[in-house]
Amino acid sequence: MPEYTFLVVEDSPTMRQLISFALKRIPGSTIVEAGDGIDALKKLSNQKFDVILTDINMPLMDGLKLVSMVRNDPTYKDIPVIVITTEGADDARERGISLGANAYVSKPIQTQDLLNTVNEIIKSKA
Amino acid sequence: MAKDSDSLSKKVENFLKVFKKGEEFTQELLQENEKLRYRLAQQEEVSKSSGRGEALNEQALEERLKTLEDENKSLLDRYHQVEEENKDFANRYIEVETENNNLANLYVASYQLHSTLDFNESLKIVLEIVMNLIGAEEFSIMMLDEKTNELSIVAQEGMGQDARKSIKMGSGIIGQVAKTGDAFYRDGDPTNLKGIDYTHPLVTIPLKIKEHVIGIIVIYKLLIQKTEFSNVDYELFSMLAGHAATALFSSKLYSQSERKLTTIQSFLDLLKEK
Amino acid sequence: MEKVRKTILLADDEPEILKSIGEILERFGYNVIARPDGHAALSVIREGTPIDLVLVDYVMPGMDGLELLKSLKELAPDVPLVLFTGNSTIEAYLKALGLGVHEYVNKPVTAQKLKKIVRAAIEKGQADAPSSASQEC
Repeated sequence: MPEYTFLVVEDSPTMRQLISFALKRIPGSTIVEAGDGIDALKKLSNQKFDVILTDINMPLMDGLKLVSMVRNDPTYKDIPVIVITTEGADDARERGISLGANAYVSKPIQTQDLLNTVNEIIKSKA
Repeated sequence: MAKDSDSLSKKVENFLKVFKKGEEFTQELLQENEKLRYRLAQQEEVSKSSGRGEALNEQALEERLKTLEDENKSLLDRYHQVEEENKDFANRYIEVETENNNLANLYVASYQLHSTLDFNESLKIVLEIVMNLIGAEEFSIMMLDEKTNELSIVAQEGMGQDARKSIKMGSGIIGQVAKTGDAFYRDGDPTNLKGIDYTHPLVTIPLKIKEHVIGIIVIYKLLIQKTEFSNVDYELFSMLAGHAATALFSSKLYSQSERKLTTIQSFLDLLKEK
Repeated sequence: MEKVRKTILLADDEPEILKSIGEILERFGYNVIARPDGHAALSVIREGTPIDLVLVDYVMPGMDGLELLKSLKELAPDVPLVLFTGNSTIEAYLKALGLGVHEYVNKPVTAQKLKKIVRAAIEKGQADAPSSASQEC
């Protein structure tokens, strides 16, 4: 069975738990959580990840900066990134995509929607 | 939860297999049927030329053909039946899946609500649930001051200037909800495209400990794409009514007693110094 | 905030960049001291010139940005640091943060963005001073 490691970057513990909860339903998934962009970078440098899911608005380092850091680093630039945006915040979403995010999911998160997006990305990488 | 959906999907799979076999079998029968018809036609040709000698044989064949056709029909019926059952299972699968997600939302919300004894953190969690799990754009949390009998905003999101900061118990829709302890749901367009009337909220949820109202959650506007409340939203509302109330109440009590404790402690320290 | 002109110490080994960024910063009303390498930049600090912000290229001959940062942090622990770089890696970024860098900018950078970053770093430096300016890392 294939195994996937996800990095969930969210400052809100509620959202983090909800996203992790959904991702746990993907067979063979391991989930690592980070509370902000810098925490995420530290976790990135410690282990391999298959997909990064990140919120946009976060303290210390926001999701957009995280996307550009990941895309600019030769070691990590191929990791797919999904940005989690608030519906209506089209601006942030577009910037995320233009910085190199692969997809976006809107809040309030629909589990099925999130899983479909993640599965599509996993499939396209396989 | 996951096990249920697993076994359900397995059942669905099995039915699909049975259904596939039935289909194949029907196909075979149809082919055989076709062959028999062909042979019958041949026989007729032959019997025409060879006279009545073959008549008996012909009758037997015709009977056989009829049985096969009957069998064929009953198989088709069975096939339709299985198909119906299959549809039922697929629908139930979707239902279970939705239920699953709803339970996950409720679980996460109540888990988070009781994860802290800090009043401000509790407040933040309530805000997040209303914002991210329900999808509200403009809303406030008001707490009741028992001395003045007034509700005042302790946290809010996206609200305009003309929103009232405090409301007397019993006054207007919001005050009434606080007084009676019954939630209020407004009918009609939840997106509030025509602008927001802060005296006519979309939803007003009393925060209750038993029958005692300690505050309320008032929602004025939902996010654009959220056009209606789903079942799980109502579940979340009733969960919030009880759990947000106890979480906010106990964290407030806790911080008060903490403060008292530090005051007493510093008194004691002062005494010791003397 | 204050009307006093802030002084920025700028170090980059590419004369073109040194000149253009220096001009941009001056246009925004900053006093700029430009140096072509790390050693020269350090000696400005050693002379006791008051500096409000150090803006330094990450890779320079003789002494790279990280080394320079280490020495800077020893000499002037309260001066905010902004590092900019052509190709950044996450490891280098984390290391820089560990040394108390305020911001890390990927080149090329627009004038507007530079202005925003510089202003934020100076403000933060003032807010943090004299306590340690380092981020948790």
